Amino acid sequence: MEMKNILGLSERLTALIEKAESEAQEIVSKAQRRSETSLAEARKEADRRRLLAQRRTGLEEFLAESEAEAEKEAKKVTKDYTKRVEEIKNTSEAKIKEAVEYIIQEVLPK
Amino acid sequence: MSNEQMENKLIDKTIEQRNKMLEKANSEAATIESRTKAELKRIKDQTNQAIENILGGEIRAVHDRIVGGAQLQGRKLVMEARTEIISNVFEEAQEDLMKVIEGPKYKEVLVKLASESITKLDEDCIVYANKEDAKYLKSEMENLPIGHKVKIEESKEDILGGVTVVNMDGTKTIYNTLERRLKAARGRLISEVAEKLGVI
Repeated sequence: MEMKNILGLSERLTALIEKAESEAQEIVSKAQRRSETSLAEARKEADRRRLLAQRRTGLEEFLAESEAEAEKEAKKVTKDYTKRVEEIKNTSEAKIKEAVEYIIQEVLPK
Repeated sequence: MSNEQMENKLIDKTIEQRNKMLEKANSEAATIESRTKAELKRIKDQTNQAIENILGGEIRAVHDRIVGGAQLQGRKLVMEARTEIISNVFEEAQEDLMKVIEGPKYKEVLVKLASESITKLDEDCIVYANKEDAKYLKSEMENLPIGHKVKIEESKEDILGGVTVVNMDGTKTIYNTLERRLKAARGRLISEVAEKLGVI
C-alpha cells in the first residue's frame, strides 16, 4: 500500500516537472515569438521608410517626424533659456551691491 | 526518516526544481525582451540615419527653423534680462553717486576732479562747476595744482557734481563731471559688471 502511494506520488511529481518544463518552454518561445514579430515589423517599417525616402515620396511624413523631434528639442532649448532668464532676474542683492560699489569706485577719482 | 517525511522532502524538491525552471525561463524571456529592445532601437537609429543621409537638407532645414528659432528667441530673452539688470545696477550707481554728492566726502572728491582735469589739460584754464562747488573751489585754490593760471566760474550748464575745465581760448575741454564719468564707465565697465553679477 505504501509502495503504491509512493509510486503514485512519484508519477504526479514527474507530471508536475514535465508541465513546468513545457510552461518554461512556452515562456521562452512566447518571448522569442514576440521578439521575432516586433523585429520583423520594425525591419519592414524601416524598409518602407527608407524606400519612401529614396523615392523622395511621402516627404511630409519624414518632415512631420523631424518637426515633432525639433519641437521637442526646441521646447528643451526654450526651457533652458527661460531658466537662465529667471536666474538673471533673481540675481542676489549681494551681487548687485558689489557691482554698484565697483562702479562707484571706478567713477570716483582715485 | 518516515514515509511521510520522505514524501514531503520529495514534494519540496520537486517544487523547488519547478520554480527554478520557471525562474530560468522568465529570466531568459527578459533577456530576449531586452535584446529585442536594443535591436529595435538600433534598427530605428540606423533607419533614421539612412533617411537623414538621403533627406539631410530638408530635415536640417526643419531642425534649423524650429530649434534655431527657439535659440534665437531664448538668446534674445537672456540678452534683454541681462541688459535690464545691468541698467538697474547703473541706475543704482547713479543714485549712490547722488548720495556721494550730498555726503561729507564730496568736497574732497570735487577737489580731486578739478585737480585731475587741470593737470591733464596742463595749461591756463577755467574750471566750471555748479554755484556751490565753484564757491568751494575758490576757497580751495591753494589745494589745486600750481604752475598755471586757473579761474573758477559757475557753469551755465546744470552740473550735479564735478567740473568742466576749458582752456583759455576754448579749444580744449575736459568734462570731468560725475555724470560724464558714470556715462563713460557704463561703456567701459559693462562686461566687468556683467561678470560681477554672474550674468555673462
